[in-house]
Amino acid sequence: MLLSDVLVGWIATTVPFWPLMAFVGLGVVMLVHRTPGERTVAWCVQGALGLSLLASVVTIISMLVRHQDMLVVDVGPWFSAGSYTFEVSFLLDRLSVTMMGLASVITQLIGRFSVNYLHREPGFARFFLLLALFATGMLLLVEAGSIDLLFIGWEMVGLTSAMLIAFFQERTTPVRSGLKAFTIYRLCDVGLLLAVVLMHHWLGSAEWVEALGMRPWPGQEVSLAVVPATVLGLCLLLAAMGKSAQFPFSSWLPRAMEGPTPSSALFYGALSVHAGLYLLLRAAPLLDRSPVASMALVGVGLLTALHATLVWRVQTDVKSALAYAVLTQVGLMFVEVGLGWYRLALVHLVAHASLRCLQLLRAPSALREVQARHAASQGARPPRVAVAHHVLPGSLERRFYRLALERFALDVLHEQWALRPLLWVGTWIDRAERLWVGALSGWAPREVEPESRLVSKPSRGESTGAV
Amino acid sequence: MSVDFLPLLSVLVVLPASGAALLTRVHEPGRARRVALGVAALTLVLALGVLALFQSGGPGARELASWGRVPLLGLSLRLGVNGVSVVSILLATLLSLGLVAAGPRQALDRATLGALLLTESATLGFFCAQDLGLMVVFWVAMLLPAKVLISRHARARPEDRVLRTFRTYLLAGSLPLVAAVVLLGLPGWQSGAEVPLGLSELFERGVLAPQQTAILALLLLAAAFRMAVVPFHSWLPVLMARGPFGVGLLLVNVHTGLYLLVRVAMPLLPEAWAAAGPLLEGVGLFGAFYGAVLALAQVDLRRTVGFLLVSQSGLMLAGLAERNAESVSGALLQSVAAAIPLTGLMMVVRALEARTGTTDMTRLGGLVRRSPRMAALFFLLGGAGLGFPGTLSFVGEDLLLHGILGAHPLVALPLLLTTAINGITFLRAFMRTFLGAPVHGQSLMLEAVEDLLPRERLTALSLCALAFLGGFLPGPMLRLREHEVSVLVGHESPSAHGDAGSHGAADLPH
Repeated sequence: MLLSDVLVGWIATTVPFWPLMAFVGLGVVMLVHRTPGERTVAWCVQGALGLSLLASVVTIISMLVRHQDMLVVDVGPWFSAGSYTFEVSFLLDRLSVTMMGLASVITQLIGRFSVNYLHREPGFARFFLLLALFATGMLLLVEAGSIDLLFIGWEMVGLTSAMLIAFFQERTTPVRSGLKAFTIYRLCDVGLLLAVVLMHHWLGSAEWVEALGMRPWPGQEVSLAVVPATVLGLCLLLAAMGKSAQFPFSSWLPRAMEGPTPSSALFYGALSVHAGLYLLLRAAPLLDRSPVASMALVGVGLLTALHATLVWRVQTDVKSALAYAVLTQVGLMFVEVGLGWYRLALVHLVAHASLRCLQLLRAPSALREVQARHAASQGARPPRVAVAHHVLPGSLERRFYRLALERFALDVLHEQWALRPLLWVGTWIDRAERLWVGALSGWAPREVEPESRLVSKPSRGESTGAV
Repeated sequence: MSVDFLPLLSVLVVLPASGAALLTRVHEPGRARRVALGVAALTLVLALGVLALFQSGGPGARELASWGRVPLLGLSLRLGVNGVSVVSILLATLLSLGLVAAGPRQALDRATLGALLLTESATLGFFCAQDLGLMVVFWVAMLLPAKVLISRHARARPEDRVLRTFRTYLLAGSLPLVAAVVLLGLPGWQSGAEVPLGLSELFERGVLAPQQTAILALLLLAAAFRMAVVPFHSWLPVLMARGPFGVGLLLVNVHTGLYLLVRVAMPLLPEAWAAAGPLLEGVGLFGAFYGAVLALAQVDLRRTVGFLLVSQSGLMLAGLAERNAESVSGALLQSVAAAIPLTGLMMVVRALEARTGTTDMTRLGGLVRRSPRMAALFFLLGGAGLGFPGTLSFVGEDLLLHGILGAHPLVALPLLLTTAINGITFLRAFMRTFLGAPVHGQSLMLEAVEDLLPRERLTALSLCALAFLGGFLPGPMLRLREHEVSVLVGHESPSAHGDAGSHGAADLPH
């Protein structure tokens, strides 16, 4: 059966639409009325995810059958002012169709898994609500025909990621980890936003097709001077580094495992952590133009892989070890992209996402599996897997061991060099500000200080510096 | 056409004030609230009527109601609307209704309600006035009820401090405007013109080049105080934290300042404005960043919201200074997009304060257990105010970003960091207040917290719905102001202002 281009386009458009419907419907009911029962929630979200899976399968099959490499779906303008118009359009090519299939299959499976896993959990409905929002964001991200639309999906994924890390919200640590992840996301998003505007500025359009050419992925070419291409490439690299937790920003990933297991598997095993990589693959022609950006990519990837492979060896819990294992592989994928092996990177991505998702889903029963294996082998020592670090000389090995135990103190460094100075400046200005207001209102601040503390204690707390 | 408008606009301006007068006769608190609520709702309906008539009409700006003139000064009592002010009118009436409907009962006594309605009246008058002198009168009148209210509350010393701050800023924000108007009106008075300060007459006459800079500086000073742009912002957080509930409507102030710039300063003094552009843009961007850093360092929710607003108004000023279609319509849109959800946010914060007795984040935590709806609405409103995708402020920030950065990619960093830090500030405030474990020693108090009452929920929900619906379909609001924006950025000459011409895409090719 052959479907027309327009019909396939419409079907592909509905792929992110179904989960959005589920999110809006469920969200409004929860906000206005009351939280529905588990069965209703699961039925609603799973139905939407199923429809979106169906739509993406139909799209993939019809594109395969017709040997079509590329399809641009123009939905229409969203808003416009002056010469600027925000166009909503979707781009379906080999890269995005692959990612779309992967995303909808894995989301559907995780949704099914979570129905049992989170049974009678107080936040059951909240989890599914966020799952639907994540599916919308991720599918928008991979299908987006322009970098503007990609940014919307990107933000949705970031926000749901932070909210799911803080899923067990009555405890303090998950909440803090969620905030940490969001902070790093948000700071690195500066790179993406900059790239959005620069693309408009230099390439005249934010549409992938118009900016990067009509040839099917990955053979596109872009006519841009080396310097702008380098700047754009580095901006995108910054964005990807945040989302994919590359080296200086990698400390949030192991902490992100505080969330429920299915969401860890979905976000940090399978999809969200690869979103940065998808962005780089999408912008591959730009990277081709700029040796500096490519070299930076290789450098970042190698550093991450090295760092992560050192650290995972000494982790004492399975989820942290898996988190660093993810980083090792994603770092290697960055290297592949930097070297221009795009197809390899895509294959690597799909294989890694599937495997790691499974591993993370099985993580809660890892201990029992080890015990079972131990019993089966009747106490014989299993062969050691991680031996590469023994080639290091003894003193260096010990030093690296300590560093790895502390995860290279990235957390402390972030706090000390980024957050604390900012908060310090903020508190300092705040104090100056209060003095100024005091002076304005004809108040000698020192002489009335004790009284003011008595009267207005609640609003006078100093910033504690803790996030 | 003018027959339709003539009573409507005047009734719109007078109605809230007469409601306030009626309130002095009502003694029972419950009835007073109901009367105020009815008046505010009726005003909103009238404003919707104005919008409907305006849309059916078409042209950009119109003089619609004239009540003669004050002989001595030559003030003409003319009212009218254009694309910018019609949105402003809706915003002011909507937020007033929200505040009256959802404020905590103990804060809404008769005096506060009266002050709220009087402020609303003056604000509407300011937006409708077509005469600069009249605008000045309303500009001052807008703050007087709040001042009376504060001085009534200012018995204890900390409130006394609020009063003095407020008085300082009231003077500093009004005197420059009066001076500017006197300068503008002098030639008219000397030559004995019939309407020396009418806006359309002023546009026709123009301003001599040597005077432009001085007048612009005065106007800018007044607007900057009102918008709380950084060096002149100190009153806003103080009032937000300590002031009585009624001054919550001052959030609209940001919009008023912006309106003064858009309606008077930009069309009247185009050369001076263009010359001051880079400086203003720098001030605006610096102010936005400064406000963002300060908001991050706050531990009091009320002050956090105050500084977030300061940061937003810096962004808007930068957008206006850039003077291209994207940035100007972005700034105008953002002023609505930030005012609606941030007012809602302030209302939720006030509700929280009424329940727990504090807004200090170090003493709160884990509130979501007892009040999930408050948490959800806080989250949605905050997100809607700070540009998460799908909300009106996302559209506004996107336009601002493209407008400003498209012209000067170099100024990107402070702008982008501002939006990033504002998002972090908000999520941090949300998580510290509503998630996590209650702070040691506070858990008993937090156990007793009640969720939002239906009327509070309804208000917060409708503000939320507006922000999200507007974000989904921003087209109508952008189109309403398209004509004014294209005039402002100089695609059309100011003399075409007020003439007929379909406001729509057809105007763009000029």
